[in-house]
Amino acid sequence: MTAESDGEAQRDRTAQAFRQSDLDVDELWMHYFSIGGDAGAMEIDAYLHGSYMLRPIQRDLLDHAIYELGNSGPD
Amino acid sequence: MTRKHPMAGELPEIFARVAGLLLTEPAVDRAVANIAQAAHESLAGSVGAGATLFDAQGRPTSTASTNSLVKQADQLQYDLGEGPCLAAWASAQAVVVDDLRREHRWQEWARAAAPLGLLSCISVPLLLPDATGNGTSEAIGALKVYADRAHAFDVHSQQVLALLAQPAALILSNIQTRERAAQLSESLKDALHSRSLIDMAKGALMERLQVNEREAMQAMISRARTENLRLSELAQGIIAPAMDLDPQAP
Repeated sequence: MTAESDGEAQRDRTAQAFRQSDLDVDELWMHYFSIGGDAGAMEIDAYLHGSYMLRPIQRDLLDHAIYELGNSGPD
Repeated sequence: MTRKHPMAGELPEIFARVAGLLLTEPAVDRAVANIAQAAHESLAGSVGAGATLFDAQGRPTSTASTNSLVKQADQLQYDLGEGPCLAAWASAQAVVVDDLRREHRWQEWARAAAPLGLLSCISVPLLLPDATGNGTSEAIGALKVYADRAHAFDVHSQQVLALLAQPAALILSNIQTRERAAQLSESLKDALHSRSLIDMAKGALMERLQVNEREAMQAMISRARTENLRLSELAQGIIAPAMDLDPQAP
């Protein structure tokens, strides 16, 4: 697998997890930012819609932000 | 119509009370509860009233009811995704249910709510006046009153409720905006704090494990998931020992 197809596969998985969650992009962005994410909310939105690519570490952080929000519930 | 000037004498009093209740109330939740109470007290036949603010997706953000039956009837609407309040909010129009046992617009809700003994209700949207000039007013929520008998409310009750809803919407929206701004700055502060903890922990790991940035981050993420910790909690644990280091140590 090439690095590029890795990135796209990860993006698809993350986008699917996002769609299955009840999150809106702003909410997700705030949490992603709080765990160290550097991309802006518009870039996140574009990434989740498949029209933008994030650097590997940013992809990992976004994926984990959805994971944490999905597990936490309102605190 | 028999009464041409409904409650002409009482309305100023209601307004004064609503404005007084809301303007002095800094928190949205309490203001929403106050307006529900005012609606209940202002409408003859009411056994309970409720007020709800919705977000753009139609999810209730603040909701208050004067009694538990109203609370249950409202909750059923949000669970089922249908009912008079949601319809009033979505259509920006008043909605009247004369007899819940014969209600066909929201059959699932009517079936589920009828056993509560609430038989009629009025729901009016909480509308913000058209500020953009394009002729649309934005609905931010709904105000509703329930009765325990059928046909309890008439056009006059609907007018009173709509009159109450007007100033309430405007004031609630302002309190909401203020509260959101305060919340945003609070969550930004929290976010920046967590971010710097995670950043420090990442740097510490890169040095300890001699790995690059992504590897350090992946190590933290996988440990956080295994140990069921938030990344910020894990980060705190990673950097805490470093803080206790003996200052004499090299």
